[in-house]
Amino acid sequence: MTATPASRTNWALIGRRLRVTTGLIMLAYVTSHLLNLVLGLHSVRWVELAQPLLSGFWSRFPVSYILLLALIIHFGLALNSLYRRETLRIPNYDKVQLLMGLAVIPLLAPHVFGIIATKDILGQASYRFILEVFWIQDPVAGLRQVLVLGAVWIHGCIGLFTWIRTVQNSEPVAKWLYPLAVAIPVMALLGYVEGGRQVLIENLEPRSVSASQGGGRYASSAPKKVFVPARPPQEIIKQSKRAGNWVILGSLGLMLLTLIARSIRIFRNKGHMVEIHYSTGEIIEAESGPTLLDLSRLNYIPHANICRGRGRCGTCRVRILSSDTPLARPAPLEQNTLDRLEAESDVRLACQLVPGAGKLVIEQLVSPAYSPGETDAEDKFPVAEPAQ
Amino acid sequence: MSVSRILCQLVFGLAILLAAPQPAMAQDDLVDIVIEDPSPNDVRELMRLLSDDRVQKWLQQSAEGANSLAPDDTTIDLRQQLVSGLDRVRDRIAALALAWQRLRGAPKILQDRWQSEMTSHQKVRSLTYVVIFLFVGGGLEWLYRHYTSALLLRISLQRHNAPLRRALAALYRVIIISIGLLIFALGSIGMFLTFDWLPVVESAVLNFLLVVLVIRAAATVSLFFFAPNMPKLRQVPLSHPVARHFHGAVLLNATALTLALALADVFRRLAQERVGQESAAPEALSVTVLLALVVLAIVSWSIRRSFRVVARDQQRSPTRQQKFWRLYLYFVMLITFALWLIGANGLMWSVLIIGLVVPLLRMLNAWANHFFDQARAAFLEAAEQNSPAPDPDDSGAAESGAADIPPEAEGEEEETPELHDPYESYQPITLRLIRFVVLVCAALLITTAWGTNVWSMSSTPTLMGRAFSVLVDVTVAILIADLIWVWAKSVIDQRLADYTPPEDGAAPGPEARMATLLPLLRIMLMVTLLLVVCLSVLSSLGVNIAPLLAGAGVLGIAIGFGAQSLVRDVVSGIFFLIDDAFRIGEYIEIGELRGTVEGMSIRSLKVRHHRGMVHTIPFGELKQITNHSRDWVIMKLEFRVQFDTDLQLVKKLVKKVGAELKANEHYGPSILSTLKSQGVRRMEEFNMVVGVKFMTKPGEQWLVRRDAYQKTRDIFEAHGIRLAERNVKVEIEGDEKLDEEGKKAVAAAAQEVAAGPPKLPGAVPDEP
Repeated sequence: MTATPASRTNWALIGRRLRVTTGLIMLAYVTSHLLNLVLGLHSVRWVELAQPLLSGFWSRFPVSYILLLALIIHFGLALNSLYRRETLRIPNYDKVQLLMGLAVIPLLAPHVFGIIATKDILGQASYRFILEVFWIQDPVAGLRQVLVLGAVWIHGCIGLFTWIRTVQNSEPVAKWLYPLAVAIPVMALLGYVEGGRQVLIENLEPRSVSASQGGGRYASSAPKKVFVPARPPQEIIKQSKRAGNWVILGSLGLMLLTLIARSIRIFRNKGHMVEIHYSTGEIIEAESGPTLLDLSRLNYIPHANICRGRGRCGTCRVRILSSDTPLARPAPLEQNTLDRLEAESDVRLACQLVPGAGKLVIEQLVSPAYSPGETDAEDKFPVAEPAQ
Repeated sequence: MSVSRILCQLVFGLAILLAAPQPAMAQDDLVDIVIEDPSPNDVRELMRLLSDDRVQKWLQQSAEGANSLAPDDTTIDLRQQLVSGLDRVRDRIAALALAWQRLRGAPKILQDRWQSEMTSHQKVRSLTYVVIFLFVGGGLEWLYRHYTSALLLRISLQRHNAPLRRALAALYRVIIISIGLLIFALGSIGMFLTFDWLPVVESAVLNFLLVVLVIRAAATVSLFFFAPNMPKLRQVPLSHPVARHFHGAVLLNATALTLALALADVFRRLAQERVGQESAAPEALSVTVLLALVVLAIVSWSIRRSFRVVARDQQRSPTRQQKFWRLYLYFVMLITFALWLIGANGLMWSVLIIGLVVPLLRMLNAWANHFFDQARAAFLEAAEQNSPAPDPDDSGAAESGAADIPPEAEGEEEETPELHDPYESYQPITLRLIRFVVLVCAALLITTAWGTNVWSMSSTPTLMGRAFSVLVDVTVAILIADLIWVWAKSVIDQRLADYTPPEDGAAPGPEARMATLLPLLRIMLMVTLLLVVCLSVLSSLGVNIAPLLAGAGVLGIAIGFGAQSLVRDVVSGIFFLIDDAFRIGEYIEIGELRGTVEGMSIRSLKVRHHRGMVHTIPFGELKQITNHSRDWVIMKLEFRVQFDTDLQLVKKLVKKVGAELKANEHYGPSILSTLKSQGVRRMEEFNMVVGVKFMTKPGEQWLVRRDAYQKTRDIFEAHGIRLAERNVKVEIEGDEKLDEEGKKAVAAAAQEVAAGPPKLPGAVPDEP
């Protein structure tokens, strides 16, 4: 393990950038999709008018493939980081993000394949039709859609804000992003409800279709003969359902495999006992393996970490006063951040540092109560500073 | 009536409160509808209905049912009550038996009802709505939490030594979190109102929303006490695993209870009779009983596990006390369940509340004591750190809580705080207050559970009600009196204990007045409290106390006339004390009389003259008082010097003497402005009068004056300044020599001139 870090962590740096980039691409897609839905607050017609601009753009040839690629890369990176996690007793924020992220693909797959199938059958997937499906023919799909919206949005926002907090001079932008992060999904959901209501009313009045009549699937009451599908609709639907199930099962299987691999790795790496002395006087004993930041957190010792252990912000940095076992050299990812902070040679990032067996004496360099954009926080509220 | 119904009413009372805007909106809609007057035909129909016997009987019955407090026959004796109660129990048992029979089919019937209410699509759509409104509430709360997260973090991470600060920090934290909860509630309820719901779904969703809110509120309260992740904010002396366990147990129990209540209510609504369907009440009851059993199991399991976790944390097997309390709690739970089962709601609530009040009181008391212990420890620690301890013995003395300060610290008494316990007076009051609040709340809850109003209970005709109301009245009166008495007594005693009588010669501090007044106040308070309690107990027992009060009033007036001057003495004494005109130990002047205040009684003042006589003066006789012991005293002295004296030298010498006086180790510190020359005050026939003055604290002037005279005289003499003597220059015309006779005559005449007019008494009082 000590032999490879240089080659591995170079990848880590690239992986981190990739994760942010792919995440941002997908968030942009989701945002424009939701903005399209917001128009449903006015009428379904407006939604359809804006569709080519806001949603259609993403399903064109190069963009759609970029999106798919981003999704796959993001998912792979997530599995990788799950595999590398030493402990699953993580803060609530991370837990929510992880769970939401894992839930997205299984929840989303039926929708994606459903849309593709609709296009194959009808030539286009109009919002009115989709709303009809969601509100009248298959409300379960509608519910799933709301859930996936929540999951994607929560996952994406946590990622976005964790990233943006570490970007220099981001406060003026971030200030506006927070209300937007709530307003967009709420308005989109309201637009969805309002659109559904309109569709319901229209559907009930002229045709008086009993809602339970269809029993469920897209094709059963689809408007017909506008477009001639290449294959019989039943076959398309069957195929899309099968594909959706495969994706769900596949992603779930991958997650399960990752978890199994992770527990095998942890089992084989069974650690020694570490004893960590903080300059504030606290002493903890724990099994080695997790990073120093995780150890602090597991033992309820407050430790600043703005970027939630991604080695980006450097607020978790500590000064190593003494260590029984020699510590591994900082990997490029860590070294990058340390260089940016112009840190001395005995300063390390707690989120990257894995303490070895024996005693380790450290001093936290940033107050645990530190939060970005509040430089004078300590003056107003005297916080226990690590003793010099 | 079943307990679930009461509980559901409770839940729905809340629900109605929360959903208040909706009916208001509905009313707005109704305003537009014009209501026409009834036609004569309608009126006739109404008259006919009202005169129908059956309708009359029904109206009467429903009136009785609606207001069980005021039954038509005013005398219900104990036996009748018992019989009706037993009847109710019998009905209930019959209902239970029926429920048992129908248990097997219950899920299906309820499910059918649920299905018949709406289609599955509507259900899913409703669920979508639920997800959306939770998302909206959650989103708003998240936004709020984002803006307060930095503050919350700082509050959580402050290092709090004093438990009060810690409690405040925990409180702030809980307040911030509660506001978040409120925002969540507002957001989700607001969303809830904008959607259209089916009636049954609406109640179910509202129940669900309430469950979420109640669980979160319980979690917030639990967070305040247990702070599972923040040992520094924890209010109770528990280790980490135990605190986490208790937090979890609170959540689990709150979830189980509220969910069971909400579900029971939904089932009850489903089971209600509708057109074309018979009532499914037995089915609903059977499911409710099942739910109650589940709740009972969960609660018992949490009790068991809590004791086990605590024992494991202490690393020893449970003590006898713990075993007793465990058993006790099981017992209370079982009795409660049994009483609920047979439908004795009032009894059930009474048992539950009384059973829980005891452990709750003990826990709260332990918590308060722990709080004060910590506060005391923090205070002593802080005091120790502040006082620069010269040697370890000192800090040892401070640790043992000894109130006496080592002698070398005496000089800097102002800086070092006295190490007495600052919370001595608060602790008993707090404990009493907690007891008071808990008991009063318990009493109120029990009376609510019995479906009676405390304020109107004494008018109920039943014996039990009367006895109970008297009991509540008496208890509350005694509790309040006890609370006031303990508070006043501990405050007064604390003040008196702090007061140290001034040493001889030292000026008395402002506390001297309180030392006079407080014991008086204490006795008066006790008498008043006793009287009030007696009177209120008598009045709640039904004794008419108006004549008693009137009699006391008449007696009071009579005594007042008789003892008019006595009253005047007492009252004016109190006002003199409030004016702070004199204190024990001060030197005062009242008309002709002078002396030190030695003591005061309720009526009179004892003043000891400095030559030993004691004057006793009733307060009523005091017109004006001159107090010589306040703040400062200026003393003016005069020296008569000859006309040829060098005044500059005099000034310099006086200044030097002043410096010497100031430097004196005994009275130096009490000189406020030392001796200085005021120059020539006036010219007399034979000399100049040089004035000097100084200012000291009261009582110190005599000693300073003595030394000032002595030192000035000495220094004048040393520098050749002679004090003037009365002399008469006799000029004899011509230069003939006087004979003996003549000399004598001249001397006699000169002496007569020199004696001058008789001297006036000095303005300053004699030295005491």
